[in-house]
Amino acid sequence: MPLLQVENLKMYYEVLRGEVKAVDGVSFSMEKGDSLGLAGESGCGKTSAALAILRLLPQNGKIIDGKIIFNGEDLIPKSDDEIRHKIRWKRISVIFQGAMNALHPTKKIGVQIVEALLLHEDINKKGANERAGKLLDLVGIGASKRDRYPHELSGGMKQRTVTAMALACNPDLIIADEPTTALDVIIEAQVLKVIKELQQKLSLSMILISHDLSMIAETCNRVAIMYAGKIVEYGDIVSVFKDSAHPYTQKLLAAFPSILGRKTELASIHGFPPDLLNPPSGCRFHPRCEFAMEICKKKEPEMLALGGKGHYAACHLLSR
Amino acid sequence: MREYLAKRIAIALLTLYVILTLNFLIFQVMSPVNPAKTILDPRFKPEQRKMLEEQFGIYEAVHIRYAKYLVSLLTWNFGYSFLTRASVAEEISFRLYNTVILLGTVLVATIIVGIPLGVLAAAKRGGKTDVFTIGSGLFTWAMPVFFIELLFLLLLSYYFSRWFGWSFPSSGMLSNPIPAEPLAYIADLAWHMFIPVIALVIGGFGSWALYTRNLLLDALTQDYIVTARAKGLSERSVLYRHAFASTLPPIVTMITLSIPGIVVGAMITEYIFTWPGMGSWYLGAMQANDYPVVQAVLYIYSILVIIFNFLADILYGVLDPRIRVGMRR
Amino acid sequence: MSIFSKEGRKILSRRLSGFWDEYKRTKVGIAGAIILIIFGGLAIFAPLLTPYDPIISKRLAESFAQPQWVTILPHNKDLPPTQDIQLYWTAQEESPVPIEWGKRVALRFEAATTKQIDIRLAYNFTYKYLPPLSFNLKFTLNAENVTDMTYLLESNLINPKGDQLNLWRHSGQADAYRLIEIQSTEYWWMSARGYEPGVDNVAQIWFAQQGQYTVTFIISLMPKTTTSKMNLKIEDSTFNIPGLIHGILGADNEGRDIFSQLVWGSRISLAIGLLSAVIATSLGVIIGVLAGYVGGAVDEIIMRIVDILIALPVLPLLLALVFLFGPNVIYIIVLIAIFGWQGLSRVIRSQILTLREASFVECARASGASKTYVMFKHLVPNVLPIAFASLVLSVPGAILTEAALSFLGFGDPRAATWGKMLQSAFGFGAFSNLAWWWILPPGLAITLVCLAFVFIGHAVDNIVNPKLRRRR
Repeated sequence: MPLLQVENLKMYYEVLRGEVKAVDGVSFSMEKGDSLGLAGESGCGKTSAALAILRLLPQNGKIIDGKIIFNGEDLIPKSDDEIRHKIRWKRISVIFQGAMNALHPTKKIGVQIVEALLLHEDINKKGANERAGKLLDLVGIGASKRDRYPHELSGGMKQRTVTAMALACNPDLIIADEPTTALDVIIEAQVLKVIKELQQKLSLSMILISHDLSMIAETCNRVAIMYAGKIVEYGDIVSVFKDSAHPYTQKLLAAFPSILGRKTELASIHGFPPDLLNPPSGCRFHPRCEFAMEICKKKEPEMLALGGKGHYAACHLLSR
Repeated sequence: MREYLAKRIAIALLTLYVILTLNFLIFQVMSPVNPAKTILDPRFKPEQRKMLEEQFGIYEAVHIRYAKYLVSLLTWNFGYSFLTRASVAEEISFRLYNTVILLGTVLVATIIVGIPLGVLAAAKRGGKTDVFTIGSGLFTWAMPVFFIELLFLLLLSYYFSRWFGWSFPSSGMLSNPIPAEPLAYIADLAWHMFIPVIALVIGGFGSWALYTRNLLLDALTQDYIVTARAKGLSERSVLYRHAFASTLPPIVTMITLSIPGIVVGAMITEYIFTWPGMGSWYLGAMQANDYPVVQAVLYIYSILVIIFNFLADILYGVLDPRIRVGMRR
Repeated sequence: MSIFSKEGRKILSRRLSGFWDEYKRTKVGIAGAIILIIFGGLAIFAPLLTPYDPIISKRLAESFAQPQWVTILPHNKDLPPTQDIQLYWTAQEESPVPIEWGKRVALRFEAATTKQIDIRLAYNFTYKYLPPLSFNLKFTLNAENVTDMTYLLESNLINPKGDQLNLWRHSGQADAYRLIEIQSTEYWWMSARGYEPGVDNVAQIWFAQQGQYTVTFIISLMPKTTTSKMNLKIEDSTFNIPGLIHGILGADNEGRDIFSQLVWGSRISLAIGLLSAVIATSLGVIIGVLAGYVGGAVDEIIMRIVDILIALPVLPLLLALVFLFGPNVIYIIVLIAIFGWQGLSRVIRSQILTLREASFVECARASGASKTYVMFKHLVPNVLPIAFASLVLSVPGAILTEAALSFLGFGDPRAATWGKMLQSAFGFGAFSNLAWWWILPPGLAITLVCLAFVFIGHAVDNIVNPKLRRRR
């Protein structure tokens, strides 16, 4: 049984002028131990999709349709209380984008971790304190820093603290939202190292959201490419990156310059991400796609299976 | 932390010095009235005159006068009131007590009403409480405080008396004779305080509620709130233990800073309700050209403001660990 | 981009119209603007809107006369408005002596015989209200060329029942030129007619009925010889009954029109508020820019001064300064401004500190611009939005401070501001007389104007600093 199976998830934001279709029919699944990378440009809906799983959306975000089947149970019909007590942090936890602000500024970091432990685990204060110390050791910060305040830590240390906090209750799944975006490259490497070690040690299941394909390539075994609220390509990492089927994926990969290989001009994708209030008709990528055909403007392409271990893409080019 | 403290103390002392000098300049140097006249009065007895002349160096050169003036202010020697011919320093404690009784009650009551209201308004943003809070906050901020007091005075004292035959007292602090028994004393005090307290609380809760609400809303948009929710905390916990907790430093600071405000702002209230506190003393002294009282009260106000500003700074540093524990990298 | 170049001006006007578009959308902004336009209109068109002078025209009605529209309520419908009855005298019967009558009574008497001649003039009017509290009779008496005769003049009031009250009586033998004024509440007049001053109210007694009233003027000429003569003129006769209702907002304790006071008060209250705020804002901008851009020792000194000034208790100090130097409008404006620039200067300074490092400043310096040039042509225009928002929000503060000063009696006695109205109301018995029409209007006016500025400031603030915070 897959750990997480998202079926046709639709989540819209209600604004004054209409509905922003941020997540419009997204489906993917993960097995235990998978690391799924969720990639795409800013504003393509990847964070919204992930937050929807834990119902952490802003007040105007509404789940319109779909199923989020976690460990065999659909999360959508569950009550807020159930989600809060049973799912959040205990089964699924989050490492937020920009950990600088994810920690409460006037509480010690040990206290913040202990808070999560006391809420979900059957443990007393002393035990929780010890466990928090061990978690901080695990991420390489050290239990001695338990009584520090967030502003006393460096950016990388804060990120690792947030990671430790996410691991506190031994969740089945961790959602990491752009964990290294706000860090410089060296710290980023450190944090990634920690994440990879943890993945091996604890066989973590993880959803890693990022626009940085190289990071996804290093840490994930599966990847889903999102564009304008839809998944355009999805599969195991090697197939998608080596044999990318969707024009968008190809362009994304091409936009990353390689240190090895010939020097070429930086490739970019012309145009801008579409307005999700009134997305383009048919295939949402057609205004920027150099292979666009008549049918692309009219009909949305279906997700088709390609060869290889569960490699799918949604493009009219494939059905020819 | 230590240098933060030191810097604050230095500023406080400097401000104090400037206040003293300003006092001197205004009343002794720039005053269109003969400086001697601001301390001596023909009705004083000869012994009093002699003593004051000594202490304030009335007939000596400017710099000696300045030094003696500073000394006298620092040693709490304010001369004698022209009106009562009694020592100003003695009357201060009595007047201050009256003012604090009235306005201390007002401050406490306003905070008890205002802050929880602000929290509720922020918790249910856009709801009825919220709209009410914003509305009343803005309205009572724009309405002059003394007008609110006048309205309540009109209603609860004059109209009540016309409609019902009884009313709340329109002036004074206690009845004559003052009740001896403590409970009766408190009841009498409360009876006289009723109109000003009601008026000021209704006029004042709005801005506290609005301030708290805005602070809280600001806190609620922070990322760490989403983290708290993701951790599975109930809305209530999130609101109180995380959002409200982070607003404590500014709120406590605000309360501390409001304390000198109650003494200083009492003037108008005491004028309207003929309450025998510092404010009405100050106003009365000005009408009667009682310079020693005017100088003394101004000085006391300034000291209060300096002390409480200083306290507020310290408290903020204590409550906010970002300042307390310093910014280490 | 400097605002003084042609390009700059185009951009500025585009920005302004864009700003105005946004502003039009906010409800509060429109509400605020409307209120301001109303009060501004009152202030500007004050002389046209008010029929009376707010200070000089007294006794337009009875003290504490209520506003006219209270007659909507049934128990108020018969309250009397002020009656200013011009007495056009008419003769009751054929006069034996040629007499000109009407508004001006003039007669030329030359005695033919020594017989007494009586001339009776009268004027009728209807009174259909509740009894008033007082009345008075005014006219000018001019007796000329009185030769060898005595004249007796008398004026009476006759009520619907037919009872007669003597108003005035005078006999003379010589020339006289007098302005006669009879008040029904005057001590000697009352006691001479058998009423007890302070206890009885003649007007209430005599005007108890609704119906037709007559004021008579009787001239008795008693010549002593056949050559006696005199000229007699009675002019500008008025019978005035001060009303118990008056105008849009009633009357104060001296019978002055409160609506006029309110309208004229708007001028000075708004003027003081605006001027103080403008001066304070300008000071704040200049000092803030100086501190931020010049930096160094100048910055330190300025900021210390700001710290100290902020620590001073404003109202008591303000009062003390006004007390010592005299309550003069100019002083008050300047003093309020002196206490009002500190907050803004801090904000501007931090803005400048950020802007200082901006690249366009570097560009300007690199191309040889001097420090002052950069300061005025680049930095100041960029902090203008903040300054404008601060200006709008500091006007209510200034108005409230001035109102407090005036209320406590420290305002300029020549300036009839709304605060002063409240002071008069408080001090002259509006409360014990339940004269809410004197108390509410100035206070509400202050509130509305301040609210208007707060609304406008709110709307401007939302546009200038759009805060994209709507997370849950």
